[in-house]
Amino acid sequence: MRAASATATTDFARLGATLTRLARGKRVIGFDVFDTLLRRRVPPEYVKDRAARFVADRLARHGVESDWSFVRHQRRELEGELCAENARAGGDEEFRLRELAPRWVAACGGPACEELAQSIVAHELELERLATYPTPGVAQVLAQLRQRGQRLIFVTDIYLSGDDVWRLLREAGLADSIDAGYCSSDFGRTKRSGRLFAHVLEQERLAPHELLFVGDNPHSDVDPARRLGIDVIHVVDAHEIQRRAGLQLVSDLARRNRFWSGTLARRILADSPRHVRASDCTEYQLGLRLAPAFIAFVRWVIDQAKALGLNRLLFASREGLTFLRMYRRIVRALDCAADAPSAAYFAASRRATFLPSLDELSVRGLHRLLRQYDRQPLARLLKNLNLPAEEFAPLAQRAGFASLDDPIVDPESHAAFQAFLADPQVQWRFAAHRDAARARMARYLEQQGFFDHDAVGLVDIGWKGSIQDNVVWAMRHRADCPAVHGLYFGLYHVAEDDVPRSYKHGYMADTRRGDWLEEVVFKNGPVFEMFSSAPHGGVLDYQPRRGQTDRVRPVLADDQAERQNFRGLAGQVFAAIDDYLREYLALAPLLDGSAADWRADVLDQLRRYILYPTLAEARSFLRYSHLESFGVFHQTTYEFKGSWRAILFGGSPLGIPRRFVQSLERQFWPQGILRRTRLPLVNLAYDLLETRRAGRRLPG
Amino acid sequence: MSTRSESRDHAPATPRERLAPLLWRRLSLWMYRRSERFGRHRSRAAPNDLLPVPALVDALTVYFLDRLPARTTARIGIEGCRRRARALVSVLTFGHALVRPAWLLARGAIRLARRRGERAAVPYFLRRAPIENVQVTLADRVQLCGFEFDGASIRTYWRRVTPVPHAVQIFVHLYPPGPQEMPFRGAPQRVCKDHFPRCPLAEWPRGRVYEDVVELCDVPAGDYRVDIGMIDVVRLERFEDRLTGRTAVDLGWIRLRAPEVAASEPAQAKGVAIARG
Repeated sequence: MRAASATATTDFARLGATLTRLARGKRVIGFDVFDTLLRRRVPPEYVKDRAARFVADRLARHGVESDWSFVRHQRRELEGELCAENARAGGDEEFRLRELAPRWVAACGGPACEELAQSIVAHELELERLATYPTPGVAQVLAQLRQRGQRLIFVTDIYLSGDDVWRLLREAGLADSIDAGYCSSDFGRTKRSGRLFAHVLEQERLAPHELLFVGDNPHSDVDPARRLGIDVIHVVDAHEIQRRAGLQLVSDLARRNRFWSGTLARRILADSPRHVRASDCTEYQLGLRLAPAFIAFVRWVIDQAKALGLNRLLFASREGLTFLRMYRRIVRALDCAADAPSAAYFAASRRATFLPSLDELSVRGLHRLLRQYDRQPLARLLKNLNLPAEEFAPLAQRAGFASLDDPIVDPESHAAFQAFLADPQVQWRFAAHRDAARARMARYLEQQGFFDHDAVGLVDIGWKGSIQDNVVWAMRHRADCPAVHGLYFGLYHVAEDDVPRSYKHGYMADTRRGDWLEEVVFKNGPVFEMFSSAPHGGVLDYQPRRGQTDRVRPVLADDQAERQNFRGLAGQVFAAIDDYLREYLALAPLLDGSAADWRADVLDQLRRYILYPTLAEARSFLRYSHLESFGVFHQTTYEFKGSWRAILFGGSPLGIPRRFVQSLERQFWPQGILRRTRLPLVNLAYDLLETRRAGRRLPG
Repeated sequence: MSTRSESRDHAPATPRERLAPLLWRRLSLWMYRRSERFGRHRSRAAPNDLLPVPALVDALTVYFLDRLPARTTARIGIEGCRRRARALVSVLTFGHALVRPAWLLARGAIRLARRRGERAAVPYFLRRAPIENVQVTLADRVQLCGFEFDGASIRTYWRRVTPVPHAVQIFVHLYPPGPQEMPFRGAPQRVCKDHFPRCPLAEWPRGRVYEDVVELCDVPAGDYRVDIGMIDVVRLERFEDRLTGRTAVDLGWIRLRAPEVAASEPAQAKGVAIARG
């Protein structure tokens, strides 16, 4: 043996040039596999943890209940034992996955089942496949070397077999460039001891100076090879070290604190994305910010459906369409289609369901509408109720209405309105329209399988859950009306609206929990509504299908402004959500943590966006609009709608900050408006002011 | 054969965290977690409902690991980043220790100035309630100290407990006995005397008693049960009496007499309070 003649240090960017320089006169070039040819999305221990969870799950199916951390501990012990056995047999400290799997099952008290052991091996290989991707640029380097006629081999220390490593390289598109491979588990010898290098030299019939080896690990790739006289290129890449350190740190933190499991998942997904584009477009970035929240919500819906024993899920329009599509794809990716309840789209709106839900046309009956939208003119009230204005206008005039467009300020003391309600003709006509609308809605619900199950889930973006209230109010007299569970992204609970056998659950926010932090979702509700909304118009009513009197279909509004919305900027947001979802679906089995675990991190990210938006984010919001299709009928835009004159000159100069804050509170997204002022620290000041107030406001 | 060779190595798909928003969020979080509201939330919440919060040192370590130049990170490693995070937390703690006395002094000065201001006479406000026959606190914010009925109007005395940022209305509802119709407008409902206080609740000086007067000249003669309370007109929520869970204070029955009867009697006898419910 002689000392190595050359050891070069380089990073991945200069690897090609270094190889060109040092490969002259070499017959063979060897490569380390992991962290050289292939990169890992997760630390190696993470894959073993995921595999341990899989084993614990499979053992539970065989009636053996064991905690995954116990299963993981058993593996650690076994690995030590197998390495020691191999060393006693004259080899190095190494083991094989296929040898480990049956003994692992046995050590955890599982049955001696060959099929189970094979499924564990297959699962771990699948995890490895998902966890690895080719190092950027390395494929070109290999191709150049091949063009020059170099023989290329890989040499790796790993408990997978050589065939498994070949499969990983093939998946990464690198296998075609490599001529041969040597794997420690196949030969019982490792690079670390130097014996695998000696074996390679023997098999390849090489003198040490004829081999050039490329690797990143000083202990197994550099030192042992140098001791044998092999020239080595030591790859030291600062960016890669930084990336791996970040992953390792967050992975360690996730074991101690649930908060970090969401961060870890986001990091894994953001690492070398295949579908997500690197785009500076603000709308695309917004989509990437919303996507984890929506995916986590859909995963929570799957978990809740299981926990509540729901047999059917109806995704209420229009936000439901986005969630339904996500649900179907995620259920397939998580391989839980058999357990998950069947799902359908439920075209509904507050406007289409409010009339059927009414028992009587009275101030009391209209309370739910008037509470949110006061000062309604009679014309708008009739529109909200889907009652024909031409039919009720003469009756209104008879009751004393001078104009149907005058707002009714106090319905309880409005003489004409009271007379209108007291008119038997009005009540009779109302009842006829209500009953017809109720029958159409019932038929539509029947078509959607609403009455076929004991418990049905209604999935929607949320806030007060009015559509659920309307449906249950309308159908509660039917004997086959199921228990309805509303599953909402955010729930602003109103206790007085509760109906028997109707339950509501909020994921990201639920005001019943009384946690002010999560109520950040309501500070910019439109962003979630707009970018989960289906591209079709609002549901106006239900009507019989042409030629099929026993079937009904929803009648959809068609609005030019709304179509424009979806075609333009919103398209980028939806594209980003879809790209991120595809990224998630590809790596779903690799990701750890439940929807409940991810909630804290997702909320933290949403808090960043809502409370402290960047200037670009705050400005871009001005370009969006939202069409209100109930209560008020206009296009909502998001510019500042206060009066600067009233703020500046509406009282004492000392009261300007107070008047400004009061005006801000009436805006849709005060933090966005503040950010657009470009005043330093103004968002912080507003956040602290709100926090101080919230801290003193005790929930009921 | 599926291939993943098209994987790209570029900047993270989503922008990295910036230090300022990270620290500001932590600051408001720290403030909230010290509040009475969070204390109540913690005492009521199931363990899984409490949002986990990362230690500031951990959050800053991750931040430094991501944001420091790659060469520096590669050199100092995770431990080096953690040391920097600890140093920053020490600086922040020290800063907090310095700022706190200044803050306490400033707050004391503000309170003193307010008290001086409050000594001056303020319209609609009294130093103390002339009668204290109710003593109900609504939503832990406003106390109804007492009420008087002089036959033509109801006077109520209120005291602010904690500041109320929103616009608030005082509601006074008069209910006739039994289900018979009210003798006006043919409406079966209550008589509503809802109104905004003459001085917005947000501006009520602390320690003073607000005197509210509701004239009942336009209400027909008869017996009425009186409910009174406050409603947050922004949230459309009534203020609740935490002890009883009720959202209105029942002031009992009053009797309003017809004007012609009342005209022949002394002013005090125009109407009488009958009993409190």
